[in-house]
Amino acid sequence: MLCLTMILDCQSDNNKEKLLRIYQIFKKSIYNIALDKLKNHHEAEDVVQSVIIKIAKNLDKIDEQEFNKAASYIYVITKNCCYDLQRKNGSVEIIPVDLMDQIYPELFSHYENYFELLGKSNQLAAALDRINEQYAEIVTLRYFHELKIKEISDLLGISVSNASARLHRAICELKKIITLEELYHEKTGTQ
Amino acid sequence: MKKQEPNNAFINEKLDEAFLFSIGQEHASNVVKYVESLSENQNEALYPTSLDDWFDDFINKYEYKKDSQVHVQNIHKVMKKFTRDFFRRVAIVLISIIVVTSLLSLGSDAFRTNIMDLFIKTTQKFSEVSHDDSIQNADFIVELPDNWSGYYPTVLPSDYEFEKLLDSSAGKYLVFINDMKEELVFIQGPQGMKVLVDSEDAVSYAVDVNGLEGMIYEKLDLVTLLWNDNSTCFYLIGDVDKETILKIASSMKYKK
Repeated sequence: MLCLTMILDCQSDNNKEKLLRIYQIFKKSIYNIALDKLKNHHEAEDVVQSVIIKIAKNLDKIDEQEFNKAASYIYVITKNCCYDLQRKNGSVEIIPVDLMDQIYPELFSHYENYFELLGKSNQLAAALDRINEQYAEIVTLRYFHELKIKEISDLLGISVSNASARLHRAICELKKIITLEELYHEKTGTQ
Repeated sequence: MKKQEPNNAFINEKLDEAFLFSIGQEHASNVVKYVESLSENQNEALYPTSLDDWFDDFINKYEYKKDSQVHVQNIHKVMKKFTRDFFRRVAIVLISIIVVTSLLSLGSDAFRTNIMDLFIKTTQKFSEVSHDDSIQNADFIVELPDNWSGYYPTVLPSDYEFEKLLDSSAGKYLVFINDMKEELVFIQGPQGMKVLVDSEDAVSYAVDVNGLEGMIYEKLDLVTLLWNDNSTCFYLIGDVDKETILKIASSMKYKK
């Protein structure tokens, strides 16, 4: 029993140290992202607190050894906290899903000129991010962070069915990008 | 041995997953670049110190909360394990006692006498009533043979008279009959004697017979009363009403 208690105490200390390290590494990035999104110092401070609380709850999902993975995970949390705050303040217009489907093709054609850059994953990811950041995000969370749909829905504060639908749309959108890129290359004769 | 064909759908799914992983990885890189570009553009001195103070408080509370949660969870786990093990052991002991008791009670008269005092088993059509051992013989009134001893009713309906007696090691039967040739049967026997009582669709209820607990079964016009005094069991079966059968039962006397 004593050994068990010591192990648990040790784990608790490790968690505390991990949270402290994450805070020290990412605190400015979190603040800067929030400030960039919200353009308000006070709201950015609120967001930093919310993000740290969320990180503390999901500490086991953050791998410090993989900086990009940890950074993108924290970025998703930060962005969603910003979005939640904007929604609370009524400064975000919520677009119904059906309307979003109609708008996307127009946005897509807007970025058609950039398709010559989409030969690589990096460019495809960037294209998807431009079309809808949430799509790039959910693909990243599901396939790069290997989170389950339930975990994603908890993280993003949406329902499981909503998360599934969003992931499905993201993949469909990616397929559209690839198809149009191929058409573009056929038309221009480029590789 | 047949060579197994590769599952194309499975391979495609895995290729898709790998491609999507790559997309995610690149998106993560782009996010990091974006965050780094923000850091370059922002003045680092802007980061409010009040947030550091808040974090110090938070991490202290976080540590405390986390510890308490872990300890509570730990206590719950230990209690759960202890309870489960305890009830498992109790169950084993109880099963052992039941098995041993059953074997002893079935195998030995001495144990059977002490353990099974009264056992009533109700089946679809009959109630099988059994009492424990210990025989007390009985004899009957004037009409009975002089060498017979036991309990006998001192009150009978006026139209009933003694008809016959059956005396066996299993029990003694006294049969009374009236003008309509309806029988009133009084049985006394040792504990453990079994009698089948027709309980199908019968109304049954407990009654008091001279301070002893008895049971009446009423079906159509037939009334059956049974009771015992811990050494002898008694049955009265007849085409009489409940009050009459209780009066007969209450009038029992013993003749040596």
